[in-house]
Amino acid sequence: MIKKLVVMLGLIVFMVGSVAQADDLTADEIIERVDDNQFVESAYLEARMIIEGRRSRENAMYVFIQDNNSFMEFTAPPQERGTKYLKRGDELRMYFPEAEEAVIISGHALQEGLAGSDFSYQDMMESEKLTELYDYEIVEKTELEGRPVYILQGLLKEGKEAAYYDRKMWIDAERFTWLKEELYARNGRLLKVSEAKELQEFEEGRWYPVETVMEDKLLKESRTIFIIDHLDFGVDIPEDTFSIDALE
Amino acid sequence: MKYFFQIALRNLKRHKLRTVVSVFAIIIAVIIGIFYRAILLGYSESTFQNYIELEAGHVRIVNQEYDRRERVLPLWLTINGFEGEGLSGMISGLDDIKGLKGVLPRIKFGAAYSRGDEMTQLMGWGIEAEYERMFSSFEDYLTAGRMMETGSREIVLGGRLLDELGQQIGDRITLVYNTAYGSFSGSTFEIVGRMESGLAYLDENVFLLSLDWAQQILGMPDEATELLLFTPDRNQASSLQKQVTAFFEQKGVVEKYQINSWQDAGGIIYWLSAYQRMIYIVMAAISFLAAIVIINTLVMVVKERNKEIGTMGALGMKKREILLLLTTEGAVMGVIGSLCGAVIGGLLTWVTSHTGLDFTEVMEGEVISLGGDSLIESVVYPVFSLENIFMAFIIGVIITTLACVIPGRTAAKISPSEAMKD
Repeated sequence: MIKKLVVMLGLIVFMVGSVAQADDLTADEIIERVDDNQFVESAYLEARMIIEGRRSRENAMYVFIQDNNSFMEFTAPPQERGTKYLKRGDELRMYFPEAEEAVIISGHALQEGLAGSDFSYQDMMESEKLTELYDYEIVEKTELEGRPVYILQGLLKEGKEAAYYDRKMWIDAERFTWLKEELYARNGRLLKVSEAKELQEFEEGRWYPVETVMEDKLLKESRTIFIIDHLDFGVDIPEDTFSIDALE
Repeated sequence: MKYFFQIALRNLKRHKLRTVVSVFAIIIAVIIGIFYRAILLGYSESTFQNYIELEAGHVRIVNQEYDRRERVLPLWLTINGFEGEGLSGMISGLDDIKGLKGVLPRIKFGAAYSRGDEMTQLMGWGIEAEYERMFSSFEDYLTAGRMMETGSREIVLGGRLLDELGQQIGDRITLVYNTAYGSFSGSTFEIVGRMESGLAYLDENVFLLSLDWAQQILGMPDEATELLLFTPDRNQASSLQKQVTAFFEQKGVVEKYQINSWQDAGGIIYWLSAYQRMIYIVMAAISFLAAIVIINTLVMVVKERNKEIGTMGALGMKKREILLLLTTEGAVMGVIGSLCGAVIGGLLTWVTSHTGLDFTEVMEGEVISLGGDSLIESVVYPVFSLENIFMAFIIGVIITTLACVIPGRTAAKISPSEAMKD
C-alpha cells in the first residue's frame, strides 16, 4: 500500500516536474525545437500552388532540397511548364522554355512573387535556421484555434540579411511547429501573414505544415495556398541535380 | 503729316549716336521676340508630336484603373473588348466612328536584362509595326537594321540601350519580364534594329517587339494595355473623344475605360499650350523694355529742346501737334528698328530652322519630365513663320510709338513763356 502511494507520488511529482519544465522553456529553446522540425537538410517534394487574386490559377511543381541548394521545376499549367529554378547558396538562376540560357535573378527582382504567388523569390532563398537569423523573445502563451501556442517575437540579428526584419510566430506548444506568422518590414509595416492549415507527422515527433496559406498584405485580395502532396525527408540526391547543366 | 515727318527725321539726325542706340535696342528686342517664339514653337511642335506618337495618340483608351497605376505597368488592367470578347472586337466596333483615321493597340511592360549580379531595367513595347508607320516615327528612328516582323521573336532597341548592354544587330539576348499573371518569365530574342530618336527615355530604355508576340509571351491573348486613336488633324481630337465616349456609353463600358484627348494632358503639354497663347504678351513686354530706351532718349531730348519746343508753341504750334511730332520721332525709330529686327530675326530663324539648335550637352543629365519620361528632344528646330515675323514687327512699332506718348505729353505741356524765361 505504502509502495503504491510512493510510486503514485513519484509519478505525480514527475508529471508536475515535466509540465513545469515545459513552461520553463526559453525562447531560444522553443525556436531550436522548431528548427529541428522545420529545417530541411535534404528532401524531395511534390506540391501545388493555388494563386488567388488578379488572375487565379494553379501551378504544380517538384522540388529537390539539399543543404543550401534547391532545384524546382514547374510541371503545370502549360504556360509555366518547364520553368526551372536553381538556388545555389545565395544565387538564384531561372530557366524558361522560351529562353536559350538561364538567367540570374538578383536585387529587387527577388522581391517579386514566385510564379506570381504571394511567396517571394526572397522567401525561397532563405535556407538558414531561424536561430541563426533572429533573436527571439516570448510574448505570451495562449491558444490558437484550440491548440496551445507560444507567441514569439523575433528581430533580425545585426549583420544578418533576411526578407523580413521582424517575425511574430505562433508556435504549437506541443508539436513545435509554427501555426501562424506575421512578417514585418523594418519600418513596422505588416508585409505578409502565413498560416499553416494542415500539419502532418513525418517521423516521430516531426511535424511539418503540408498546407500553408500566405497573404501579401500589400496587395488587395491576394493569397496563395501551398499544398504539399508528397514529401520525403533525408533523400539521397545526385549532386548533378544542382548543376547549371541540369537547369539548361 | 509730311511736314511733321520731315521735322522728325531732321531731329533724329541731330543726335545720330543717340538715335542709333535707340534703334539698336528695338532691333535686339524684335530679334529676341521673333527667335524666342520660333524656338518655343519648335519645342512645342516636337513635344506635342512626340507626345501624340508615343504616349497619347489623338485620343487614348486605357482601363479606368490603368491611368492611376501606369508607373508600375499593370498588365492585369487591360483592354479586352466590350464584354471580354477581345481587343479585335472593340477595334472593329470603333471603325464606324466618323473622323477616325486609325487605331493602334500597344502593350507596355517591364523587363530586365541580367548580367551576373546586376539587372538592367527595360521597357518593352508591343506594337503592330505595319500600322504604326502610318502614325508614328519608329521606322524613321531606325539608324541600322529593320523593324521586327509580325509573329517573330525579333526586337528593335534604342541605340543607347544597345550600347549599354554591349549588344549589336544580329545578337541574341535573353530578357526576363513579368507576365499578366505576375510571374517571371523569359525569352530569347534576336536584335534586328537600332533606333535613335533623340529622346532619352526611348533610346535608353525601350525595346520594340511585335504585338502578337508580346501577347503570347505575356499571357494576354487579344488584349492590349492601351489603344491610340488618330484623326486626320490633331485639333479634331476633342470631337473624336466625345464620339468615342458616346459610343462606349452605348456599349455600357464607359465606366470600365478611360478615354482622353491628348489635349487633356497636364504637365509640360499643358504649360506649352498655355505659353503659346501668352507668347504675344511676352513679345510685347520685351518690346516695351526696348521702348524704355527710347522713352529715356526722348525725355532727354525734351529737356534739351525746352526752349525750342517753347518757341514752337509761341509760334502757334498746338499741344497736340507737339505731341504728334515727338510721337512721330519715336514711331520712325520704331519702324526702322522693327524692320531691321524683323529681317535679321527672320533670317536667323530660317537658318536655324534647317540646321537646328543642339542642346544635348546642356540637357545631359537634365530630364524634363512628363510623368518621369522625357519627351523633349535635345535638338530643336525653330519654326520659321511669316506670321511670327509680321507680328513681331507690328508689336515693335506699336509699343515703341505708344511709349513715346509719355515724353510727348511732357513736351506738349511746356508753357512758351516758361520756356522763354530759361
